[in-house]
Amino acid sequence: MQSLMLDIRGLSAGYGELEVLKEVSISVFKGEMVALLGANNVGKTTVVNCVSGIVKPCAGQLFFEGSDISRLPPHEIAARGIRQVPEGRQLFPRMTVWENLWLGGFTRAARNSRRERAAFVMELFPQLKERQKQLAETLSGGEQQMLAIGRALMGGPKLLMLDEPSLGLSPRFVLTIFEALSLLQSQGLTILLVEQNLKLALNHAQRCYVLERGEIAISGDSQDMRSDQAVRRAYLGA
Amino acid sequence: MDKSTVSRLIGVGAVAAIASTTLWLPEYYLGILIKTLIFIALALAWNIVGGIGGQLSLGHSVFIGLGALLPAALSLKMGVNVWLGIAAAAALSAAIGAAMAWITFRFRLGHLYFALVTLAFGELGRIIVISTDFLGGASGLLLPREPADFLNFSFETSSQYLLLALGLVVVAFATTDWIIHSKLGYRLRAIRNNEDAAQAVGINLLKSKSVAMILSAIFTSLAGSVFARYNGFVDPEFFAAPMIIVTIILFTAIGGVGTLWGPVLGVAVFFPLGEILRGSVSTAVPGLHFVIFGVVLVAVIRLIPSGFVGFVNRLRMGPHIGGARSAFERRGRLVVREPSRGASSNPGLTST
Amino acid sequence: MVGSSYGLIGLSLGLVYSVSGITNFSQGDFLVLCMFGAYSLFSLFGLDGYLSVFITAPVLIVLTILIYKYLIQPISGQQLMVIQLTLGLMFIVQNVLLMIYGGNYQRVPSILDTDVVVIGDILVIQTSLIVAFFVTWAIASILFLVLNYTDFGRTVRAVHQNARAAALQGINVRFTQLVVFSMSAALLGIAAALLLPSKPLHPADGLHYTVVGLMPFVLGGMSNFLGILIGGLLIGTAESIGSFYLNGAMGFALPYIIFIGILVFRPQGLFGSR
Repeated sequence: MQSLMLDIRGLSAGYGELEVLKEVSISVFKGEMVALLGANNVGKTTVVNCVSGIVKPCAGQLFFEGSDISRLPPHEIAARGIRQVPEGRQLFPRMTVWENLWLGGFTRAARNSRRERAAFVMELFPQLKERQKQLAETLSGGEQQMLAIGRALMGGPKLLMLDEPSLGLSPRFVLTIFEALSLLQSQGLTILLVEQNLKLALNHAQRCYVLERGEIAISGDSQDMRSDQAVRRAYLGA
Repeated sequence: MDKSTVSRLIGVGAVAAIASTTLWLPEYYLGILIKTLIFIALALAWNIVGGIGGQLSLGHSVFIGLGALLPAALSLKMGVNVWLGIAAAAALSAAIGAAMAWITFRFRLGHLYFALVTLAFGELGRIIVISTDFLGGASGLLLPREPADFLNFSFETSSQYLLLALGLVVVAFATTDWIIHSKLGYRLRAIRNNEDAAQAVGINLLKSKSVAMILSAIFTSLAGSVFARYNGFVDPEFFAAPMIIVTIILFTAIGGVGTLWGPVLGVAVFFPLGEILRGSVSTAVPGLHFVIFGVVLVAVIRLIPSGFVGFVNRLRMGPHIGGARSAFERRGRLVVREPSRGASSNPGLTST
Repeated sequence: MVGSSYGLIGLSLGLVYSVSGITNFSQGDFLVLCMFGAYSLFSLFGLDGYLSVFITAPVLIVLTILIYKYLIQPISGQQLMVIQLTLGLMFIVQNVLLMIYGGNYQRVPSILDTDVVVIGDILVIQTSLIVAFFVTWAIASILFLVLNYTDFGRTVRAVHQNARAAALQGINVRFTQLVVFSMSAALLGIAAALLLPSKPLHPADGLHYTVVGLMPFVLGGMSNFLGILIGGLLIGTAESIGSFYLNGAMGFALPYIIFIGILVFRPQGLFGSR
């Protein structure tokens, strides 16, 4: 039996009066890649932000490796091994590639392995090695995404959450990134992927959840969902 | 009898009641009441730009100073009729207000910037006043007590001053009420709520803010003129220094910035309190009453950020959709530095 | 010359702002508080103005941490409220000082008080100002080194550039902010000690110092530390020139006029970006 890494139960959250998520439940088992799908602005990022501790839920519970993380501040959640690659990268623009990576390894647990991890990341993404001394804001979109992922990896995460990594990237970069993700998964990393690109998600993730108007409309194995009409409907909007 | 008629009757009744105090209130308390009324007028005036507009102006002391000193100086030194002087001061205040608005709102650089620049203006105003002999220099101007002469804007008894101050407050109050319910008020609220959205809807930010500033400046100047005339002695350190504005802001904050009654209540409750406290406590320990104020203030702001009026409103209506961050959001948010220009933007709202 | 100390005040404001977006309008009053602290230390123990910084600065740091942690950080999402709260603080501090020290001007003598340095035939500069100048730039250099070459410095820059991303990497944003606030308080304490010898002291001076620190802060673009220091020099020079050539209090108006003038043409300050 696989072990449950991330257990989201009945999550409700919102901003002010605006209720975005209504009792969302998602499970992510160790070693798998799960995709969270849905149309624009439907609440996918809110889910990820709740797990990361940036948004506090109204109701529901969040369990990571069995412990309740719903009340923890963001930096502690990161220290526990949950890393987010945010939508739009969110790098430190006026710091070099190297500095961005270095900061990724900030937590006490990650500090010891900083050098090794940095080397690993730069092997994974050779472009980063070339541009070590460049300021983050001067990189291209694809390179920035690689840097963002690399930065998250510097923390030695057990769970990696990516929010729309393919957004605005050329197919070449998308390919590179997803190849890297597959490699990481094969090495034991658990991944939660938020994507708008249906095809990408279904091709790489083992299971998918579809979020529609704040609720989980459909969930299941990717293979089954490929042919499911309901999935297509949810995507083209109701 | 519908609601607005009832409130109008209450309003008229209140005004009449206050006016009647001239008949029975002892001199000392009458004086406090007069000053309270003047401060209420000042608070209402500031509130136009500060509360409804949401732009914290720290430079209004310039308008007070002008309103207080210019008519006096013109009349004492050049024999200009006081009413003309008051009008001149109001016009000049309006011009300066417009200039301030133009400089700070041109590029949408945010509340902080506005507060800082107006503060600089305020200090500049104070320095200019102190160093200009015409305006009384550092020692201020002394307005002689003349017999009551309406044409000359001089009054004799406290009762007359009370009615004058009351009249001023009524006008300011009515104007504020009108503004709140007018298109201008609607635009200002939209701007305060979300500048980007307001602009997208077609509201001319610069124009709305400038109009608010000008109106505010004019009323402030008028209130300053009345105050000066009542006080008799115009001390520039008091009238033209930013400190007086800070006081007003604090009272308004307690009452509820941006509301109609907020400034009124805040001042009405705390100003007399202050004066009385000052009389009793501060002869022994000067400044203590202010310290007590300050502490109460900070406590209120910390605990009930929207002031008493806001608090009461929330009790009445239940949690409502507002532009301000809700408790939920505040709990969840990091301390994310807001960009140094433009309205506060919440990155969390643009992505889901 | 005195502008370098103004720059320090501006820097203390800039530090706080860069990691939190908060501007403390009572900064100048805390400066004056420090100065009065030094004054009391002097009149009670004969402690020299410069040395007292070792006591006043730490006290200020503790006070600052308490204030930010309990009063300001909790409402830091609402800019207007923070401004109002700091105005309230200004009120309290100023009147507490009035209560304790009365309304008269005080002077805190120190060993360097009336010393002057004569350069050739032309310049006569108060030694205290020279000391201030060098101390300021020394501090600025240390700050620069820390920010760019230490791990902690990188953390601060990270929080400044993208606080949310910083939190996602495991950085405790609130704690980092508190540390930076302490640094800001330390700077303020030092500025107080540096300014002490050259000016008479009055409890109501706070607002003036706040404004005098705000101008370099804004001119420097609010987050550009070098810009802030240069802004400080500019303001200080303007003040000196003003009071030299124009009689009386009007001279002091020159910095403000220049400040507003610059803003008309470059609202983001001389060095601000965006």
